[in-house]
Amino acid sequence: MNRLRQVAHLQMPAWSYIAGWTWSMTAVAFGINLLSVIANHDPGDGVTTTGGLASVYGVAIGMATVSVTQIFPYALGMSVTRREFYLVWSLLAVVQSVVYALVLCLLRAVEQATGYWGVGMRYFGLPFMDDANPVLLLLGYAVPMLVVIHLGILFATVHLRWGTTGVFAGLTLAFTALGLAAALITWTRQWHVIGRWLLDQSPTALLAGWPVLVAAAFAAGGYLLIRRATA
Amino acid sequence: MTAVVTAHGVTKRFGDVTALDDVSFALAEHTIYGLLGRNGAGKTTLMQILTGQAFASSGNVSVFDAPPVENPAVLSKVCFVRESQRYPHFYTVRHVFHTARRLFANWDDTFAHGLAADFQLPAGRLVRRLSRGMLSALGVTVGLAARAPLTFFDEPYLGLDPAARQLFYDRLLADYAEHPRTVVLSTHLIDEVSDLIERVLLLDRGRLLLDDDADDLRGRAVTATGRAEAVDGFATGRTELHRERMSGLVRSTILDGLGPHARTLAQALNVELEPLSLQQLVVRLTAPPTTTAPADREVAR
Repeated sequence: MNRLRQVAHLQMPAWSYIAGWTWSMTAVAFGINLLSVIANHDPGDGVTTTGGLASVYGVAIGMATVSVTQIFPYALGMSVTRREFYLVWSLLAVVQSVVYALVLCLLRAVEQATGYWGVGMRYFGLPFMDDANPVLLLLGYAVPMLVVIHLGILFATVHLRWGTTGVFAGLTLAFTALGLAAALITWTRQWHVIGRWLLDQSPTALLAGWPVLVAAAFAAGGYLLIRRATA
Repeated sequence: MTAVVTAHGVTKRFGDVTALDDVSFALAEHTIYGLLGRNGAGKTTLMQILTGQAFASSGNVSVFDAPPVENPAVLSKVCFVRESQRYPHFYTVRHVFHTARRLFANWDDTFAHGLAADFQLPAGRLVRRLSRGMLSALGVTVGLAARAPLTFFDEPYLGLDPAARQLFYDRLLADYAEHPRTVVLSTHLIDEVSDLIERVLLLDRGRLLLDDDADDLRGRAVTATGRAEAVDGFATGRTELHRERMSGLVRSTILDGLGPHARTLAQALNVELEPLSLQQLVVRLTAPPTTTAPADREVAR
């Protein structure tokens, strides 16, 4: 345990960088959204959901990738094992997800208290989770964050093993597989089955339940790849 | 001898290229080794395999009586300073020291800061903004201050000026005297370290050519200079590594068979014998076969 704490310190110098960039970019995206909503605002309008929150999650993917590709070769050089490194990065992903989720819960509370920033712009609030209790709400923010961070780590491990070509080939394969699956579903006229299944799920299951499995799958994939990675 | 490392039949292939070919040896504790060989001989690959950073295609490696790969108990006693070590983009010199202190059990902070002062390393500077020489000094500082029982230096001297290199050799020897450990130095500056290293491992195109005491090697080869017939007479029955002609004389590099009898014979034939330095020996043993005849090379000089 002590060893893992020491390994975790390898990421400390990156935190000001990761958190600084993530929240500055979020602030910029929020500002631009706010300006464009104000520009079109009519007092009679209801609440507009911008979906800008997704940018926080998008940035998190890139940050996770960079933190692994930058620090792993150094960690290996400092006699850290791949297993220790991966375990620590996975645990720190959980910590980061919870901390970010707390910040987002806070921003959502501010958003509601200010009457959606005074102009009816819903930026940080999660859809379908207006009635959720605080714990579920926290999970609704945190679990998708855990998924994207592990996706970022997975990209990084592909990069460690096969370089940029590997990442592009992996993305191409993933898009091909998803596209073919979509075509197959259309071909067999099964979209309504999927739609019904989605409607049957509670918002909690969709945001905080099933994604846990996705995060676990990404984490397992990343671990398999990093076990044979060299610096 | 207590072996800290044993390697049996270690082979590493990258596609059709065989970087290491059936390499076997042992490293004793409390000894300074010189790992020598030309570029591409397989030195870095070997050190990567010994430190669990790369995987052998076949063969067995044992470090502190266990396989090093993914073995925290072994790796906590190992420090590998690579010339091409990559540092995170946002790391300063201070970050490197902080993390090294946490990861190496025997790390000596006072020693590290003393070395940093000697090498004039700016603590607050980003590692990526360091000059070539400072980057080498950083690696050398980490490798020395970590005091790992098994320490590898992979050509950490690139970019260090002669004064800084001397500083490194001096600090290494002084600290080694107080805290004995096994040190492996991979270098091309063989003459500079020849007083430092106790044993030599010489790799050539992936094969282990020599595994000998440095003192023995220093006496193993000579150059014999004299008239052609005299040198021929002396060289008969001995291993001749190299021969060159210069203004009517022949200079031959001869390996082994240099007892008192040989010296008497040389005197009788009027052949002058000179000991070969470790660096010259390595050059002669690992030089590629040339396509030009010795006489042509003389003209080219």
